[in-house]
Amino acid sequence: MPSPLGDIVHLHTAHASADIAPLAAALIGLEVDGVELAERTPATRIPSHGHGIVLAPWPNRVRDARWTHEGVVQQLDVTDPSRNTAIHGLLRNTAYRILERSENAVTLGATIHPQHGWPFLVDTRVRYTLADDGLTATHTAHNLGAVAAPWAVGSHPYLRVGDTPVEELTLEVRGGERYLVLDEKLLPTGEADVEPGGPNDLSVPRGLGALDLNLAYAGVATGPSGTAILTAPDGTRTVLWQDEAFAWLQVFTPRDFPHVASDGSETPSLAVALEPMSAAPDALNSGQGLAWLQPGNAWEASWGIRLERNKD
Amino acid sequence: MGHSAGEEQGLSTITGVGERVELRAGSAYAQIGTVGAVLCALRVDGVDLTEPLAPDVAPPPFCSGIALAPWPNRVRKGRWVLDGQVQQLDITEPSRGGALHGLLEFAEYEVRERTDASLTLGATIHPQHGWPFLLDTWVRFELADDGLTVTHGARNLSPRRAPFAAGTHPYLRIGAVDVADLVLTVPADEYLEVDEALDPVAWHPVSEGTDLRAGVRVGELALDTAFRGLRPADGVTATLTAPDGARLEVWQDADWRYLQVFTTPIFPRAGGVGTAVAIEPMTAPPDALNSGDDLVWLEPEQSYEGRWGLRFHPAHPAG
Repeated sequence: MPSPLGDIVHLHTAHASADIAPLAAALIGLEVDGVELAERTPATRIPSHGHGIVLAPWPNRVRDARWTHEGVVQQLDVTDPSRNTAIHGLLRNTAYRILERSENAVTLGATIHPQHGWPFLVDTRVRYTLADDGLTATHTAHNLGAVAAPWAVGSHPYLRVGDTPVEELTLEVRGGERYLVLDEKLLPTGEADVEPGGPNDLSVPRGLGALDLNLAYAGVATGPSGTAILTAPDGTRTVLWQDEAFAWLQVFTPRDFPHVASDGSETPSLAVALEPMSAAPDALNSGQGLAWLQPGNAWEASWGIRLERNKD
Repeated sequence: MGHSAGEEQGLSTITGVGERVELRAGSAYAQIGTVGAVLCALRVDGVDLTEPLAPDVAPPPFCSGIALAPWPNRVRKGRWVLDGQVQQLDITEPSRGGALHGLLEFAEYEVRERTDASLTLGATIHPQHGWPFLLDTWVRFELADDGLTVTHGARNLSPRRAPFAAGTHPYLRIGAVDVADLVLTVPADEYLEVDEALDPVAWHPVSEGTDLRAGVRVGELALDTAFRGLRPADGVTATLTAPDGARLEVWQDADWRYLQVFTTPIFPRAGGVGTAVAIEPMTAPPDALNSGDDLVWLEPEQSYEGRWGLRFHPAHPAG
C-alpha cells in the first residue's frame, strides 16, 4: 500500500538518519548515534498531533479564521471548527514536490496559490540537511505575485532524548522572558512577563512530568547555542536552535501522543512539541513577527536539532 | 468581451492557477490551469464557450471552471458519519457553515500526460480532517473540433473502502451573446429544495421557475438548484441556445445523474459584472456524504471513471 505520507525520503550520514515525508514536508523521524531526537510517525498514517509538519504561511491560529488586509476582510477556511480558527497555515494537506535530493539532504517545494482569505502567490521551500550530530531545516519563501505578501512559518516537531520517557526529561527555554497570554480559544490577548519560579518559567530546567503547557514564548534566545534544551537524567541533551528570524517558540505538552516504541508498539504518552515560529500566534491580525515580502522578494531562515552529550 | 487567454500575451510559468496548459484541435482551443484542474478557456472557431479566466485573476471567481472532488456542492456543517464516527471536515464556506466543493479547489495537480489536444492532470487526496482516505484522482481533457470531453477518475489507495463523487463548475456562454439572452433547456423532472444554508430539504417535481424542459431565457432564472430525473436525448443534459440558433450542449455519462444550475447577475468580467450561468454535471447530489445518494464506494485498489463534455453547433456551419 502507498503511504498516506507520500514517498518517504530517507536521509543518512555515518552517524545520523532522518525520514522526511512529502506530505506537509513533515519530519517523521530523526536519530543520531542511535538516539531518537524526535517522535516517529509510522508510514501507515499521517502525523498525529501535527508532528513534524511545516506551518506556512502562518503557524498556530488565526482568530475566527479572519483578518483584514488593506481594509478588506479576508475569510480563511475554518480548519479548527471547534475553536473557529484557521490553524497551521495552508500546506498541511499538501504533498510537496521533491526538488533536489542527495544522501543527506532534500529540498521540498510547494507553491501557495491565491485562495479563500489569502490572495497571494508564494513559492515555498524546505531544505532538510542532515549532519552527524543533527538536522537543519531551512525555510524559504519567494513572492511570485504582483502585491506584497505576508509571510510567517513554523514547524511542529515533538522532540525526545532517545528511549527516556518524556516525563523524566527536563526542559529549559533560553530567553523567552515574556509569553503570550491566551484566552479560552488559545488565542493571544496580550503579552506578560514570565513570573520567575512560576508555572511558565522554563529559564531553569524543569521536569516535563510536572508541566502542562500550550504556550508561546516571545523573544527567545536565538543562534547556535540553542533555544530549548531537553536533558535526560544521564546528561544527554536534545538541543533546538533557531535563527534570529525564529523569535517565538511554542511549547505544547499533550499527554495523549501516540509514542511509537522501538518494537513498533504505540502507547498514548506525554510528548513535547517545541515549535520554532517566525511570528506569534494570530500574527495575521497582530502583525507580530509577520514578514511582508515585496513582489519578487525572498525570505530564508533556519532552525535545527542536534544531539549533545557530556564529555567523559 | 476580448480574448483574455494567453496565447497572444505569453504566459509566465506559474500563475495564480498554476501552469496554464494550452490545447488545440482544428479550430478549437482550450486552456487549463493546474490548480483545481481549472478550465480557463474553451473556444471553437474563436467563439468563447466558457467564461474565460484572465491571466492575472486567481482564484477563479465564483469557482469558475474548477473540478469538484471528492464531492461536489456542500456537506452540511462540514460533518458526516463514517462507521458510527463523526467526521469533521474543514469549513470551506464559513458564511454557510459547510464544506463546499471537495478538497482540491486550491490543489496543484501534476501533469501526467500531454499531447497537442489532450491533457491528464493528477492529484492525490491525502487523509485529513474529516476525510480518512488516500485517493489518487485525475482529470483528463480531450479537445475535439466541436468541443471538449472531460474524464474524472479516482483510485482508492487506502486499506479501507472510500467514498467518491465528482462534479465540475463551468460557466457557459456562446461568444459575445449576452448570457441573459441565451435559452437554457434541461430535461430534468425533479429539483432539490434547499434551506437557507443551501443544504437539501426535499426533491420535488419541477414547476414554474425550475421547469427548464421547454427552455427558459437565462435572464429570467434565479437558480442555485440541483436537478435529477434527467431524461437526456443522446446524453445531452443541458442546452444553451443563442438567438441566432447556435447551440452549446452539455452531455454527461448515464451514471452522472445530477446537474446543478447556478445563475448570477454579478459575475465579474473585464467590462464589469453581468449575468452568468454555471451548469454543473455531478455524479452525486448535494450533501451526498450524508444522504449516501449515488455516492461511489471504492474498495481498496478499485477505480472509478466518468465523463461529461461540451459540444458546439454553430448557427451556420461552415461549408
